[in-house]
Amino acid sequence: MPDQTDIFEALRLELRRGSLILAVLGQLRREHYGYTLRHALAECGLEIDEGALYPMLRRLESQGLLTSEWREEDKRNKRFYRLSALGAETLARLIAEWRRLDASLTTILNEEA
Amino acid sequence: MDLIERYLAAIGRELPQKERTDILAELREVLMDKLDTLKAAAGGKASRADVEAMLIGYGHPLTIAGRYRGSPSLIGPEVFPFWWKTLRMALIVVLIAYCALAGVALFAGRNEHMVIRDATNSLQAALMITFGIVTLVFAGIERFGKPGMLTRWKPRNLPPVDRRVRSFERIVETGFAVAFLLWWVGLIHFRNWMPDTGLTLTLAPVWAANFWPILGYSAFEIAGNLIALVLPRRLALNGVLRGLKFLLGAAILSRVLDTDHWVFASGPNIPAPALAILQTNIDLGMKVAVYAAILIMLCMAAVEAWRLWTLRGVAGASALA
Repeated sequence: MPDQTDIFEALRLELRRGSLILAVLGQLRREHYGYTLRHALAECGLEIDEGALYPMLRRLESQGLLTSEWREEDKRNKRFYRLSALGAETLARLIAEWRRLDASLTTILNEEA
Repeated sequence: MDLIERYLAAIGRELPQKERTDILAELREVLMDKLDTLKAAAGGKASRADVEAMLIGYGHPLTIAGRYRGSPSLIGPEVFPFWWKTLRMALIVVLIAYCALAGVALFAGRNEHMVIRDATNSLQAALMITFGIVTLVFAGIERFGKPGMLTRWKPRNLPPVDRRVRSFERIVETGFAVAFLLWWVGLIHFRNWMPDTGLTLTLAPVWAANFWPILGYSAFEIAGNLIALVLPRRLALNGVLRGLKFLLGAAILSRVLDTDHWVFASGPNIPAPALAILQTNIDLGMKVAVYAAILIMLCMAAVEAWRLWTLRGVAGASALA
């Protein structure tokens, strides 16, 4: 039987999963490559595992939400990602949804408190 | 460098070919950046142990490749409950069929230790094969079908509250039907159940003349029961199948009526007059039994037709509401 820490960790990961995509899309309104994107997210207090970030970027690109291009920087080839037009439209809808959810949860959690 | 290349090659082997080069190029850059950071921290040169630690920290090659592939499920969460329910039903049917066969083998006079040994060995294989077949079918639905089809339902098609009892009855019926089918095609034999009297009963040619219709009826009954077990909510379909089964049974029995004898009694030690009286009684008894069976089957078909009609009435009322 899972202990309380396992249960909390599983729920925490579930809670983070959807919000990480929103954070990545939000951060990619400006162009980034993986390393700088990860640092930008970390500076905002959102740590993301590299092993999860790159596959996520690839998946979002295959869904048409991101575009990417290879360019040289610091004598090394980097893949730069940016939000596509479809990504920008989707992000706007997701932000609206997030705000609705946030408002509802704030109300519920304040009531409970 | 060598370790990084080996690491990338291990990931690459698990990636789809058309994306492999692109993914590995990006991963190589990421790892080289990390190596640079590592070297800077270590004063210009990273040890093999440091690189190993870095790669371990990044993740197992199979895990990393799996994240790129999206790790598709063999049976996804939508299909899983249907797979689980079907699997349980199929395993129970196999188990009951084997128990019925073992019972028949014991009844036929086979050594009980051999029966148990054979049944246990073949049952294990049968359960594994059943598991494999059911899983393959549902994996096919998950991969190529439309899992959403499984979750479309109508409340009016919900099975009755006493469904558990009916499911049990169907499972038992199926077990007996399988045993009958195997006996009918000659795969199993019953021992003479009246050995002390010296009486032997043999089937009259009318049964052999109807071999295929009876075989078809038996297979239809098994298939109908399995469908009812797997799709208990499809009340109309199951009702139609049951009704057809009864009509088919009545039709076959009416063909079987076209004879004077259904079973022949014989026995070298039984006097001829006694045998003649016995044959007359058997003929009369069989005639009554076949007529009664036809009547019962027609009544059951009528009951099913009535149930279907009331189901139609409910559907019509729901549509009007």
